[in-house]
Amino acid sequence: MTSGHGLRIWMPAAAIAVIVALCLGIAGQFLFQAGLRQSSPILEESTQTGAAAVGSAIAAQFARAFDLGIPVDRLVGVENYMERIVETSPQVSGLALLDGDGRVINATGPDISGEAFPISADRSNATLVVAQESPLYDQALWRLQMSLILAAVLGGVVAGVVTGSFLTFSQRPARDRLARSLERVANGDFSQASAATGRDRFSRAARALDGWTDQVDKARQRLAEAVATIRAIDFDGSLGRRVDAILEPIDGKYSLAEKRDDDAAPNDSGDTVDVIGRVAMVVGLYAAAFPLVANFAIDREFGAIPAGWIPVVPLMVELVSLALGAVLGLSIAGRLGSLRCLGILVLGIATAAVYWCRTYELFVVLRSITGLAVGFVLAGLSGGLPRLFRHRTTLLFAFAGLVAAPLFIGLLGEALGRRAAFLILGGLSVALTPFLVGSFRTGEGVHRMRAGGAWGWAQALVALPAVPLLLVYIPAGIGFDNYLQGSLAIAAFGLSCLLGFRIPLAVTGAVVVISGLALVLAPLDPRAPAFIASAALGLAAGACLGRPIPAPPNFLALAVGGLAGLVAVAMIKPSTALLAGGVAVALLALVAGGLLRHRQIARG
Amino acid sequence: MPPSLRIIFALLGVVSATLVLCAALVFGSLDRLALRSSEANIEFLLSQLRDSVEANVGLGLPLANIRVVQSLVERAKAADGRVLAVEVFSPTGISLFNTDRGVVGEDIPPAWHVAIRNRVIDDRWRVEELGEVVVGEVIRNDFGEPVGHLAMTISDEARQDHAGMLLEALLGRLAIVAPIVLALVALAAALLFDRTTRDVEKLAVRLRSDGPAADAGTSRDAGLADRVRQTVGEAIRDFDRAATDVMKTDEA
Repeated sequence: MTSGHGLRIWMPAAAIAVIVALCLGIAGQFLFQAGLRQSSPILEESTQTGAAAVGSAIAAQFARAFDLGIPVDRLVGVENYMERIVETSPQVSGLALLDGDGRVINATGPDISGEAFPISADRSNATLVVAQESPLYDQALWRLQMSLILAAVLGGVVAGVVTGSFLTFSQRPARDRLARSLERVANGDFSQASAATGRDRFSRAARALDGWTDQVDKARQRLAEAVATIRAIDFDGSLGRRVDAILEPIDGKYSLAEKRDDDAAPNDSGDTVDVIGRVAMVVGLYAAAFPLVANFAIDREFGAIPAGWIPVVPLMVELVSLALGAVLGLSIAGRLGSLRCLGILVLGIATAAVYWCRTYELFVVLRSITGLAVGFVLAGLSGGLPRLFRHRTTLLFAFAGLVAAPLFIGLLGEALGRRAAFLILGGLSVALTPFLVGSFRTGEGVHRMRAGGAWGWAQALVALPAVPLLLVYIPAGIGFDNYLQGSLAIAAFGLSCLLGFRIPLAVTGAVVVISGLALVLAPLDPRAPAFIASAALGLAAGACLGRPIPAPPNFLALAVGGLAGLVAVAMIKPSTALLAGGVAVALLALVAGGLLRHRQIARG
Repeated sequence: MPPSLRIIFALLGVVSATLVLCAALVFGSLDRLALRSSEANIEFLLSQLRDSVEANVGLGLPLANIRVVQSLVERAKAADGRVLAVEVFSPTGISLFNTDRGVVGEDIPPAWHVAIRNRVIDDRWRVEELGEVVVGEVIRNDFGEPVGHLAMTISDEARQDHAGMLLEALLGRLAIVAPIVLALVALAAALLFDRTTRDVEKLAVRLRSDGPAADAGTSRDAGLADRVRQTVGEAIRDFDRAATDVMKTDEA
């Protein structure tokens, strides 16, 4: 019986990812072709109409000039005029002015061809040629193709992660349990039963093994009956001594349970796997709104507070509500499936209601309700399982909340707009409620989770620049009108965070230093600073979250750091220098965390 | 339900959601493209009209007093069948010239005020209303100061027709593509999960059988199963022998 490791888990996951991505990519192309076939005639007609309107208007202008007696080859400033028209008219790719003999007098480029507009005046004849093309058309279709490819890749990656998670959290433990059971029985230990009740192959194998141990039980029962029969007639103890001598070699050879318990405690790893899946989905559904909250707030117009606070106030209120919800969820209330069900419904409805929200105040209220609901649900789902937060599950939650969710909402926003994205997200939460609520009950007290020691403080320091970057700077900056771009920047943080879990601390530190220097010294495209800062802060966050294993993240430190960061970004105008400062704080976090941890180890 | 079946359903859920997302991307992009393409045409008309109005403003007259603007807006409306109305209004939002002469002197709608305050990009703004799209431009004098706004209302009917036909086409294609993709993914996942646990199935068969199985699986699995059977057989023999010996003690 071989245990599932490495290739046995990630090869199938990678295969599923590739198959799903390919299928989705091909399906996307079919859909694209169907849409294009439907839209092309309309787009062609629109472009043609536009080009014709431009041609007619420009030809009329030239005709007026000719009527004033200016010869066609003496017109001044024609080239600049035609270039300005081409720049401002996306339906037109080029213009050419020809004289009466067809010679090119002026043109915006070589080989201009297209519809010809005759220019007739009393003294001059000329022709204006309009080359029709819409860069808007080509650029938009390229963007759509890229979005479809990204959607296919995202679908494939999520499918691969779901498969890998299943194999890691469900199949591998089942395989390990079966292997241990077989080894035990092969070594003569018949003391434990598997009590397998499932219909999967592992359960069938475990029941087959139980069949063998049951035979041993029966033989043991026969021996026990024989011993009881002899002991019943042993009046002077002589028979008992002979029986003891017969039993002695067997007692040392085999391990047997005192009593075979038909109600053996079921293995709770199935519950753990279910909870991990549900928590990951709730985290994903909640975090998907991150790229849209700040820019939606800005668009609500609220004159009562300074502009810098407009995107920050809803986030701060939401964070505080989330903490309150978590406290409630950790109480007995969070263990009740019915209340968790209500929490998920409230989360979905409050998210969807943003579709109809027109005012800032209502938006703040909706986000605070969302934060309260999600804090309650997450704490209720996971509060009794501190072992939930191991290295791999934190990776899974980071992937769900910082990679998959932002990309999903970015694509949804790209497709249907921001309000519709909120509506669909909320609808999805409501529709998935039966799968998310679970029947899990802790049945035990809430375990106090270890804070993570030195790295807990580092997590607070990293949250200081990271939270405002993800929740304010990007959504209000490069992601304000371009949701996909903003989501990509947030996903860059998430991917770097996942990388930061695994790579050596020295490498992380070096990359963070180089990023900071690039922000300060290198001439950058306006979009680049957000991506560079995302990558650097993501690496640092991953390093700080992944170090204390198997302790969970220090949520209090993250909340305090995040709140402080939001206050800072409300008061300081966003700039590349501010981003560089944030990267410097992240570097400080890495150094401080590493030094403190080293000192802890040195002290033993 | 076996865990692998649940995961297959989860994978099908992911694939379904992504397919719908792809359809939404195609719909949204092409719908927006058609809108922007027709708006680009209207914006050309708008900029031509704005240039004509600004040329008159450059002569030094206040905008409200330039009577020729009324004929310019009416001519612009007549030039394109999609144009429902053309309006020129003051910086305070009072209508000065309108193809619907009845609203001259009235305030513009509140949504236009919001758009002018918050959504002016390159001197252009737009508002989407039910069945209509309003595209506006700022009118400036020779000093670059805004002296009014130009707003052109265009019908959204063509766009809505296009959106309806596009949706129908995409749904039709999705109805064909989705079952095929879902079936492929389900098959691939089922085969994969079967393959990853085939050794366990062989082990279970070996454990259930009394004799050597035809296909023993990996040699390690087979060895372990055989050890289990050997140990169990030995234990049963030991217990039975001991039971026989125990029963014989009173005969001795």
